[in-house]
Amino acid sequence: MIIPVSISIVMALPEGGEEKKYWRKPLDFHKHKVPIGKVIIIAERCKACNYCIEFCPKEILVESDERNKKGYKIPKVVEGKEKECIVCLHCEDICPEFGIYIEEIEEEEDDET
Amino acid sequence: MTRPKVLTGTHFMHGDFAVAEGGLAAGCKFFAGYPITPATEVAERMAGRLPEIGGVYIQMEDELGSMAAILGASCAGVKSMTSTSGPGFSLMQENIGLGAVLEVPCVVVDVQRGGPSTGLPTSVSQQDMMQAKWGSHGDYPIVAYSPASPQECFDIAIKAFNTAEKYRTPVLVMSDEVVGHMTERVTIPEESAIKIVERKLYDGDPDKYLPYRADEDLIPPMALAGDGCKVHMTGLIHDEGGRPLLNAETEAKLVGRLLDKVVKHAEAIMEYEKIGTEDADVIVVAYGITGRIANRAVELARKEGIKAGLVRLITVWPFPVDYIRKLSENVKTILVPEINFGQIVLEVERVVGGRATVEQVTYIPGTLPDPYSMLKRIREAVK
Amino acid sequence: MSEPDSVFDAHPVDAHLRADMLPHIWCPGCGIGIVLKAYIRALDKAEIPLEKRIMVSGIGCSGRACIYLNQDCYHSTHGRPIPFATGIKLANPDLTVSVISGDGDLFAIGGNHFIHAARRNMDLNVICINNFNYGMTGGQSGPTTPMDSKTITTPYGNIEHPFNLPHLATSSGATYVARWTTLDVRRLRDSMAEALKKKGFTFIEVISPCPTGYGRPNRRGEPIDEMKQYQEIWDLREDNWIIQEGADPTEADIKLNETIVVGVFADIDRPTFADLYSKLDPVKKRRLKEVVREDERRVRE
Repeated sequence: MIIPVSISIVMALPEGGEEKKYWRKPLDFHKHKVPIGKVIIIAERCKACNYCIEFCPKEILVESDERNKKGYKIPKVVEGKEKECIVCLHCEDICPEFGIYIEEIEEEEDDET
Repeated sequence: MTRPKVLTGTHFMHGDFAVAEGGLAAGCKFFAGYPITPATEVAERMAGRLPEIGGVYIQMEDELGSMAAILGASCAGVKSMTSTSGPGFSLMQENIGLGAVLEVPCVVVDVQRGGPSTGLPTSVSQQDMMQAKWGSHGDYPIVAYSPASPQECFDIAIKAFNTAEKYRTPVLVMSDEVVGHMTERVTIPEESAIKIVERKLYDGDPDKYLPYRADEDLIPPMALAGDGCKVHMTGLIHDEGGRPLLNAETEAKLVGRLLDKVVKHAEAIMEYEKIGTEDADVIVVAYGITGRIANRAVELARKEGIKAGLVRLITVWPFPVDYIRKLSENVKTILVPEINFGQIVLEVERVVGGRATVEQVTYIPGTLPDPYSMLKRIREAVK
Repeated sequence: MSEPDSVFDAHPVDAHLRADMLPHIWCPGCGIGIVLKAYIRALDKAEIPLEKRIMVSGIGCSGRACIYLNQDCYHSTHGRPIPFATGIKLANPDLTVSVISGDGDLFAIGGNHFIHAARRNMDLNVICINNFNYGMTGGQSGPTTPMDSKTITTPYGNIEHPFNLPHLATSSGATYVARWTTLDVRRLRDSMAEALKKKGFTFIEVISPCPTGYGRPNRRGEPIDEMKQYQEIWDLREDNWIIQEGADPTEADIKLNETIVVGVFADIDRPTFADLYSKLDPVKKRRLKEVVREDERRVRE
């Protein structure tokens, strides 16, 4: 059976103000670490459909001025949001071009504690 | 008790059953078909026999599906066949072309009936002979046999499978209503006495498999579905790797090789029977049921002292171009009896190129040819 | 953002693709690539071994999907992928045979094969990428084009009633029927994995944007706008529960610019053709009913 996943869980991230989207704070909240991802774009495959930009729940991608060989404007990560990818992989799944994927970054140190 | 794969012994059997038995003896384990007069008995036989020997019989929703299904089954490594008649044969054409370009071995039996369209469903004709060669669009290789008796239906079914497997191409058995429904003695030999050819399989590194890299004999070794060779087959013009490469160069290479595959092996594939051709003034070139009747006509002519000869084509395609051309240099007239309004006679005319007189002995579809009208034409030819 | 060192074998699914053939031929914003990726992920999720994966496709944009997959792939003729796949499956029942093709291929020229394969419950997974038109030939109307839509062959609006595919599939006897959009990537993947594991004729319809063929004449804007429409549907669902387990397929008609019902419409068990074929009894020539009765008795004992 398919269990529909509510989008609000994906969007509610344990960072500052967004925490209030939980109707209650999970007891083991502090034990969970949000993974950080590195966005990798295979520029030559991109056809600028902008799905990754539109459907990124963290809104970390924007259209850049850089064009690939076919002339499509490829997306880029918003400056300052490099560490904000939470590895939800939605961009990877929704990209029709097999042109974007995420590599999880091994956490160096935990700043928040 | 279930019957074995090869029904060794002497049987009283009609051509449709015999062609089915021949297929089974050749190793056919998959049959997909659709009912059509006068080919239904082939399917009927298969429906009863295949479950006995662990094969699969399926009645598809139409002939388009039947043809596609046998190609699929053959891609998975199971020898497969279908049978049909005129209208169904027309529907199968598209996928016969697919089979030729994907290089999938399979056997299609066409029990010819009178046409065009629904035509004469229960009567004989030989009107699909050109469709056999040119039916599907584009240029492609084809091998077509034409049996003249139930015994030959059995023998040819085995040969058809062997040729299909050896050259990786669809092979047609152009039977007809009379041969299909004629009941006669059919002798089935011991299983060990039947020569079976299996397709050349790929046994190299699965990661390096190129589905259309042909060996020197122009035939690529085949990897089957599920072998782990990542087979890519497409009806688009493709390169050795099975990748679509849509340009004239690839077309020339691929289609050139496909045609050469049959042309270069034509001598090995072609079969014909010669009777009294050495000293003949008049030669009859015939095939299928007309070939059998021509035999009698030539016999009667010889009794009258007429130097008549017969070339009975067992494979109509590829056509014995060189042989007929050579023959035409020494004879006055070549007669081509056919149950149609002129098909193979055109090929004979083309090949003879005016070196001898070529005439058709026209039998109207729906009539069983008789030897006497043919004899009359032989007499006229030597006057 | 960074770029990989190699364009091939870069993406996590590249091993399943003939990556050197990318970028593929589909237009910007076309959903076929999304479906293909979901299919690859579903095969992994269903743990189908690589050598057992067989894909057969027909002709058209969606039919091209098999060109890019790095597994056994058979690109058959227009409308005939289902019988071709039938042959493969019956010849080697160990294989997991999928058919991916478009709405025109599967339901116009190949409609007969679809209903009959469903009727005889052939063990196949059929995925229809429904973009409401014939894309490869330039955007003609097809068997699923919604009423009143414009295409190049219906310049004054389509007057033909379209097929309701989940209804057609369930009534023809499919054992698993679902519909998703290309925005439902995860549900699609999970649903495909379920279908791959399920025995019998399974069918998944995927609503996909065709910005060039269908989007443009119907003024649906950029590809992204078409996907946003699915999102609107999606938002609607939150309130209206349009995603349903066991949704009523008779109410799954698609109307121009209206909400699309998605979800799983059927999930039933029925003996397949191969199951019943294996029960044929040429030795004693018993009827199927007797064979089944004896099997049941043996199980009881």
